Amino acid sequence: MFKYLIILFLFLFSATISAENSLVQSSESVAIDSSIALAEDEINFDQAAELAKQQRLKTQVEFCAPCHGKNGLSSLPIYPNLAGQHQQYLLKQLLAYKYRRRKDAVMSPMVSRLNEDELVELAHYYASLSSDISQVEINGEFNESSEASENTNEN
Amino acid sequence: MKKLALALAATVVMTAPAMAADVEAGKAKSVMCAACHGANGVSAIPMYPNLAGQKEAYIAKQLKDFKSGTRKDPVMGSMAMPLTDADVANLAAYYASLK
Repeated sequence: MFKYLIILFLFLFSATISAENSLVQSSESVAIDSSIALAEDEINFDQAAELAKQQRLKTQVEFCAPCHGKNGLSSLPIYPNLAGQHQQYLLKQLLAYKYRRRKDAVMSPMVSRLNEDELVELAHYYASLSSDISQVEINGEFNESSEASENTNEN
Repeated sequence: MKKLALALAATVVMTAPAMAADVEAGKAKSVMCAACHGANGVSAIPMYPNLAGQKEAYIAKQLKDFKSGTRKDPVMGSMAMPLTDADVANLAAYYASLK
């Protein structure tokens, strides 16, 4: 009887130790897994934020395009070309519209709903476009080469 | 006869501004603009805009707005002040003609 008790005790004891070991191992692996997952999350978060920013910029540019052209070259005589303009100048004007230092019935409402970071992005975008005037419209219509350049600008 | 004279006068008045734009005269007048906007309309100073190839009507409107004070700018307000309507038209035509 006593023998059985010892065997049972030993059995329980070893079972507890092995259970503890496996518990420690599994918690370690969980910790490693979660740190990897965290790093991946950070990368994904950065990528997602960048994508969201690009998407937002694209949407905003669509609002500008009817007057300032898809590629920043305006097809209407009273609206300025923006392509290749200095970023600093563009930003200064956008901020002036936002805070009504430069008054314009069209531009102020367009710009005032955007925050300053978005205006920086917009100024950067238009400054980065080519101002090559050989690609501008002929008789108010975009020619094929300017259509092609618009596509590359979008990409 | 009176009607015809009126129509003729109206035609002259309406076409006059379009005929007035003189690129060469604009170029001569642009010397004072070059310090900030570049000799060829491309500014070397990021705070000042390029004007080369800008829309003629847009440039003319801005110059008039600077002159009238509708668009406020301490530098451009005083620069545009002495310009006549012909100067404005010529300058706008000159800068729009640049590539």
